[in-house]
Amino acid sequence: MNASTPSPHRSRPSSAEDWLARLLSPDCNASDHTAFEDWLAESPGNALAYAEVESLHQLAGALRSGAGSSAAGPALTKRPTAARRKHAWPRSLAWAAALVLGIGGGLWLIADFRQVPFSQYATAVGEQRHVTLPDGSRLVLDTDTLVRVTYERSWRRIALSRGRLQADVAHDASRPFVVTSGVGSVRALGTVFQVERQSGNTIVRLLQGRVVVDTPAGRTRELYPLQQLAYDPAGKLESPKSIDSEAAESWTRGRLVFNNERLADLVSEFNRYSRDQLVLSEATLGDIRVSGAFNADDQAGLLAALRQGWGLQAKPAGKNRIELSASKQ
Amino acid sequence: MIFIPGRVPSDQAFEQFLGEQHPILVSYLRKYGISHDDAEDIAQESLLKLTRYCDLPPDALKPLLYRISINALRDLRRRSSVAHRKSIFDPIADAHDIPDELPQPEQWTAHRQELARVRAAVDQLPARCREVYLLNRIDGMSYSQIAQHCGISVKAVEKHVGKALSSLRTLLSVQAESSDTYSPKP
Repeated sequence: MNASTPSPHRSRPSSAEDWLARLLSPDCNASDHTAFEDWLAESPGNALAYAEVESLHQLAGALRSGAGSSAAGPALTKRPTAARRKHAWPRSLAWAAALVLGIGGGLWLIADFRQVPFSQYATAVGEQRHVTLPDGSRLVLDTDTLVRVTYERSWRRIALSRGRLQADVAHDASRPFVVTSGVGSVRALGTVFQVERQSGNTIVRLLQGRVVVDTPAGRTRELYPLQQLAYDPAGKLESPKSIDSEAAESWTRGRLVFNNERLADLVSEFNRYSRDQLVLSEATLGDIRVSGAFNADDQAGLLAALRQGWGLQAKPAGKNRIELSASKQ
Repeated sequence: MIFIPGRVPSDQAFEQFLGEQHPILVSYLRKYGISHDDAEDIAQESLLKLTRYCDLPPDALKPLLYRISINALRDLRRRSSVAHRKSIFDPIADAHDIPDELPQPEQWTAHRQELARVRAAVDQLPARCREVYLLNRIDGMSYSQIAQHCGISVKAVEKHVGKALSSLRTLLSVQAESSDTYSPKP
């Protein structure tokens, strides 16, 4: 009896193998489960190692049907058919679809997605769109943005695949509103905030209320109104910066506002709205500081301002490319 | 089984994975006798937690997803069996297996070879370690049952299982490196 009594201060496992052995134990409790997830999220290496060990363990379970027979025993080849019959029809359909995805790709869309209620919203380059969600929350989608909205009983989930959104969240304490982007997520109660996805990095800007940003590397971090917080593809958080609400919200009205910002940043911001991409003739031009307010769809107006204010000349440089250079005087 | 971290799936592939797994996960959880709402809650929460790992290859996501869900299922059942002062199921023994993907006919040969390598590796484990691991994995005995059967502590069972897993992993990775015919999943 005494031998199987769990000691109150057990050590936490430190390897993937020891974690799996712990999780299979009757002594494993909810706090072990939390510690396990913390360990998993600590590094992609931990998660990968764990997945490998778990798969190995599952594979070893498949030896059961071969029951000590020779390696090439026919029992193993028969197993798929037998196992498939046991499952209900929709599930075997789903597995078949999963395999199709793994091998050929494509067909899963038809087989599976109708079972998950979601709506997808996309905007074209240069387009903006206002969306009102079933609970009254509102989204503003910026140019070239793709989001998927899934409303479930206990979550309102918005997955940002690319672009930028502003969310004005209807308060519902029992159903958190969560925007996921990259490895991280932003959880809100009733609030107005923005999430922007830019070449793998994510920037969160809070205008009103409270949000909690969660990434595997940075863990959770609460933002105060008029702060922005960025994280990289690995989830590493930068320190929060303060923002101006007027400037932060300007894009939702189709205006782009710059206050002493790098020309390189202005150019990349404008390029998000246009097929005609601006390029700089020399990288050093990128460090010029510029200020001004422009309509996002008015590239001609921008070029005129850059010529007059900063002496920059624009000329076509191939299909859909406009090169900016310092004027020769 | 080796995962290649270099192969980063697109966000779209990740979203597809979530959409695809959701109904399968819910019906998997319901088999353990919980309500549809509880199964939905666990599935939602587990899928949400998985976004932390969205840059991992899809092959690695599934074991993580199911383990996270199984842990949540066990937490839920532990809470409800405490609340009702009874246990309808053995909450430990019957919530283990992750549904395996059925190999396609063209994969059967590879699958057989992989199993043969696992079997060979199991045969190389130290006797006690192998016995404990197989009692758990093949005979489906819980740690407590094994402890009783072998006259050792539950803690010792856990140690043997951990040791078995790490030896198997080492043996199989050595085999994979030295084998010409074996190649990891593309």
